[in-house]
Amino acid sequence: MAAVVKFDSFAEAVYEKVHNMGSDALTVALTTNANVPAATDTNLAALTEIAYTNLSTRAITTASSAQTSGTYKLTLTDLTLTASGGAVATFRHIVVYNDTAAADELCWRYDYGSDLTLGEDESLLLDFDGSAGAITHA
Amino acid sequence: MPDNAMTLEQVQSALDEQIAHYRANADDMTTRQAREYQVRIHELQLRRSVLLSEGAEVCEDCGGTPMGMLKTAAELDEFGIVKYGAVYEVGGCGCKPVPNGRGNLIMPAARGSTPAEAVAAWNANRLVQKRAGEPAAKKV
Repeated sequence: MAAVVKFDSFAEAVYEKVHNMGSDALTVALTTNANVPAATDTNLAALTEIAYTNLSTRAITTASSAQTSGTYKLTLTDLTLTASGGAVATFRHIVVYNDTAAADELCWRYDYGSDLTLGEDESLLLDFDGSAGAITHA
Repeated sequence: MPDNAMTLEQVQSALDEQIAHYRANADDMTTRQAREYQVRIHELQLRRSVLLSEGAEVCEDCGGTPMGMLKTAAELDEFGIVKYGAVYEVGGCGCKPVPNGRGNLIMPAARGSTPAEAVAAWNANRLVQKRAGEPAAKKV
């Protein structure tokens, strides 16, 4: 899977009080490759999401949001997406957005690299890089 | 009760409560009210990190204080049986990952199935190795 791809608007939004990454509810949205999120998309309404039937929670847990010696780092607990009671619709793109922000503003996304279907009881582990930080800003 | 007298469970409980209230009411809060919650949540997150890394030595390379975190929560099946256990991590100070020359990166972090195990691994310099280019999402 490719590295983090920021949405263009995210760079501005963090400076204009749209997000508080330490306390807001970061959440995952999933899209198919037919509905690739564009870098210019700004909020959740711009995306065409898959149906989340049979999918476990998409809410991300924030471990910490802090700076050390001027370098900011957001650390997130890994998120496991699990299909229960049946399969989950095919998806490819994994988008992180802010569910607390006024317009559910988009933050960044990952491209899994190929279509993915979770069969019943299958899981996808999103590894947010632990203490190295999901995102950093020097 | 002052934060530094709270147990990990008490800190987590207080944090869950603050976060739930903040997120449920954020749209109706004044900027000042929201800020008060954000600051309190930040304090509790830092306290949780300190408790999860209790006993960890400062980084011998950069002198930074490592943080502690729940890296991966335990996953239970529909019967409540553990599919895989929790992973705790200590690390993430000012150091960058270092290539080991065999295609792996040595991360400035150590892991364990309990906070104490992660701290012991950190203090013994048993650091996490990660394949360069390893995908950030994988089927498990």
